[in-house]
Amino acid sequence: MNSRLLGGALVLGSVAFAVAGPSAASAATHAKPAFSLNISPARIPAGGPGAVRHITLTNEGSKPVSIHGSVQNVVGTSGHCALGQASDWAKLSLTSFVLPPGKHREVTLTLKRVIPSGDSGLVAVFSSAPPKTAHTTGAVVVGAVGSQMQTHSPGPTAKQACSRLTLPKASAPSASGGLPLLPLGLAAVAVVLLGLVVTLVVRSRPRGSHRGA
Amino acid sequence: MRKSIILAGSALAVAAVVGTAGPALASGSPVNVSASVNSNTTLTGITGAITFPAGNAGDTKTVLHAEQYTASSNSAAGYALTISPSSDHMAGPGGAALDNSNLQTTTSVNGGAGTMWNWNAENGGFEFDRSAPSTDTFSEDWSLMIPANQAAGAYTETWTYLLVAN
Repeated sequence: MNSRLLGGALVLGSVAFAVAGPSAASAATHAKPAFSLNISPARIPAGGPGAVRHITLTNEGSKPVSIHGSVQNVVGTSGHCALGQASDWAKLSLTSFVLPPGKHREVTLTLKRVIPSGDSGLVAVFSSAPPKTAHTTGAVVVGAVGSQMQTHSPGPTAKQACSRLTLPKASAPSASGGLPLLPLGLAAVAVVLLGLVVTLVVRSRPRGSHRGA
Repeated sequence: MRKSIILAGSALAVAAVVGTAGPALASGSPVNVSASVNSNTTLTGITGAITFPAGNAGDTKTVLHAEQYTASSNSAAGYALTISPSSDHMAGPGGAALDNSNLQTTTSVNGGAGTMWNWNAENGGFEFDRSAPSTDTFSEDWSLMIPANQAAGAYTETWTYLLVAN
């Protein structure tokens, strides 16, 4: 019986690997957190074909971080912007490196001579490497920082340009709680009308009459 | 007469001294002071893993303060923090899948009331926005409801916390 229970139990424990020590972040001490990744500039100055920009990554944590860099296009679709495919018109000078604690590394972003016409956007994303542990269980959490860049090239804009990075929120909690305002308004009007009718009926009844007389 | 000449001479001398030293003080010549503040975006405190305790089908397992981290950017337009799963499910043994809709996160920002977030397909990723320079501390509780008849084994999925300045 016990073995059956054990057999049916889900084993969701013992996650290995962390970008940083698993308990460091929760420790309320003045010690440096294990993971702290800084990117500068926060926003890459806009540019056109052939533009060259420099980005600095700094490891402000206490553990080394394996970093993977990529450039992704920002695409706009039906009211939101999101990271799209890897950009084939921009490249990084470094896409994989280890950053020791307290150290920084400069990465160069270069736009090709031919880039999409009009206004476009991209994000240089630098994420901590996912675990290489074979039997990792649970949720593996990857920290990443990015810097956006707007680009411009002569010609009409082929796709919707995005200035802010947002994700779709189909049913995100909102301050109003998503209450249906129209039905509520109609209900209020109905209550008022009913009150008026009741008042008129009461007033129209002859005074001094006694029930059951 | 002589006294008058001496007094006049002294007055002229004083005036000359004041005249040479005075303009800088009296006319208030503008001095341009310039400064430059570097723009930065920093994500701090991501742990790298969230481990749910082992449980049976039907159980709900919760990890309090599963992630506690700080997002900071001095970009004039603020920042966007997005949390995205790599898939719509946690992958298990022999192709078994544990749907993300069984996962729930309660996120508290700067010690405020927690906001619940279901990781269903409709919601997609979690997003938090600031429209001005800001440093915010996040604390997340993660819950997993293990469905009935869920295949035994270890399940895993990768979640990316991406911080980008607006």
